[in-house]
Amino acid sequence: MNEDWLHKIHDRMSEYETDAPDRLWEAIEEKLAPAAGGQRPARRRTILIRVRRSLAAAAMLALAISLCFYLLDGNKKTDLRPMMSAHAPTASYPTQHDVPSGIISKQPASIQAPQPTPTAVTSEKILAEVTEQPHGTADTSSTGHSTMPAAIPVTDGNDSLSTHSVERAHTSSPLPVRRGAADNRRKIGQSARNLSIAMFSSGATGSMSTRRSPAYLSGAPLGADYASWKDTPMLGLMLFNKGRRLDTKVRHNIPVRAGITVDYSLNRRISLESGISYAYLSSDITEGSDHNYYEGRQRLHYIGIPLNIKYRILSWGRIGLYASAGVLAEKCVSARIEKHFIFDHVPNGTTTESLSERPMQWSVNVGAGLQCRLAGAARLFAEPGVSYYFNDGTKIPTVYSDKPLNFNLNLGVRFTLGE
Amino acid sequence: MMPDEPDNELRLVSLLRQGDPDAMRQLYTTHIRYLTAVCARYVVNSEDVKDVLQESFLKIMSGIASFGYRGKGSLRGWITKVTVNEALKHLQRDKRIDFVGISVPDHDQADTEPDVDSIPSAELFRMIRELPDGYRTIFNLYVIENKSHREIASLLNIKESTSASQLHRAKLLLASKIRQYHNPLSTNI
Repeated sequence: MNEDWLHKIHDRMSEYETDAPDRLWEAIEEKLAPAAGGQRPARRRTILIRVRRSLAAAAMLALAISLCFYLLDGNKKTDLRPMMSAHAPTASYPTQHDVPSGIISKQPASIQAPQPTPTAVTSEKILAEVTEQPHGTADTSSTGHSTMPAAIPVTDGNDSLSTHSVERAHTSSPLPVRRGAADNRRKIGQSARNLSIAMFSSGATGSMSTRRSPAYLSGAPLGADYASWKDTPMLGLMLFNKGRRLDTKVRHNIPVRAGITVDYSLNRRISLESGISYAYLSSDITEGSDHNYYEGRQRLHYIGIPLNIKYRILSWGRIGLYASAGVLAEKCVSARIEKHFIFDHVPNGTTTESLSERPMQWSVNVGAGLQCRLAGAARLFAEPGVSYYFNDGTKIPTVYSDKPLNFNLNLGVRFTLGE
Repeated sequence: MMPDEPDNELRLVSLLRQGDPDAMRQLYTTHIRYLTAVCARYVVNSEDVKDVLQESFLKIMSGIASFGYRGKGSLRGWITKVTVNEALKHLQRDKRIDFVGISVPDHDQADTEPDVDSIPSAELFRMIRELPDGYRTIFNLYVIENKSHREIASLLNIKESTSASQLHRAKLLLASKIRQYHNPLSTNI
């Protein structure tokens, strides 16, 4: 069939007009009035709602206690395999809401590390040695898994052993059986060298903020003919909301951090600690007006290096108490935000943006740690602390930019090498 | 003010950006009959047409600041896009577009190009509106809005092949309607 008739239809219909619906203009005017009234400059306001701090701390404490019992029980049997297999599947990095499970998963994983260390270095009961990481700011990097193995080389001369163990932890493979590891673990304790390795997981507090700010929306380019909002939903959002008050609500989830550290005792009381850490920060961001907005999740992954100095205050029996202070440098390695656009209650496209900024986050921290020797070379530690996160110089909203001073609790297991 | 004159149209856009109520009214009166036809090619129910037009105008008003004037006709082109987009959103809202095929009289189209010239525009308009939703939507987008199948596919989140087959069926059905108009005794449909 020739297409000429279609061209004719195109030409005719392109010019065709018909009567408008009755009272359409009145209806439009009615709707326009409030919008026109809403063109006042948007106010900027920030409300911080600090929540979940105590919840998080309580959850972690409960976990620490239950883990303690769990470990003690497991050590009696000197057979960690069941534990490993049970927990290894959860070893992937948790999403923010999974903080508790994330902690659990990591700690059992870390338990493996001690077993391979039979040959080891010497060491006394280093109660004062702590491997905690200062909760630094989180940064992105979905490469979280790689951080653990990467951390290992830090472990000085004993790295080969620990490397193996850590890798196994991540791959959920059965525990390595090495030269009677379980038996050896019971023979520890006499030598006096000062190297220990620890794996920890920590959480801090989340927060929520609301701000009203048109400026935040100003980044997108404007041009003509953007009627297809599916392609550029952010633009559509800006257009539809022009002249309306815009709200930005940011809810920061609890940051999650995990890592491996090694510490080296300078003398009986003082030790230095460093290692590598991974942190995950996520925030739920809603931006726009009541009708046209997006719901987004920002995910930041950070890789960090902590440097801490620890001072052993006292120790008695299985328990040790120490103080710690240090810095944490964290580099954001991945920053993404996924936005689900809603126009008039109707989903209108999803975008995933990779943020161009990759902030470097510095923080300082002080803390006090309580360490409890479980059995063999393993020690469970809990280290509450306070951290201050410096401005990272970017506009990316994080829990730390909203709340630079953070309380945190590091939980982990420490193995004294060579015991 | 004559909106057909580029300078005047540019001035109108400028006034609209300032929120001038008279300019809004003028934009409305100048284009509403045309936009109504655009909208009604996609949306059949008259109440829905009104709703979609209302929403379109609100978006035009709120989005005028982003509109970059590119000469005569660009304003009309832009408001048409906004309106079509709103109409599509309306149609998709409840997944109202059914792309399932219906049987179409399949006969000798080879040389018999339908005679459009002698049919009044209003009648053509009515015939297009009578097409099933899926046919109508794609026919409108392809033939009248000059979208490619690829654009349509991405716009409606369908396959290009679906767009092409729907268009094919739409053309057959419309051609059949046109023939029937010329020859009411035909029993093609």
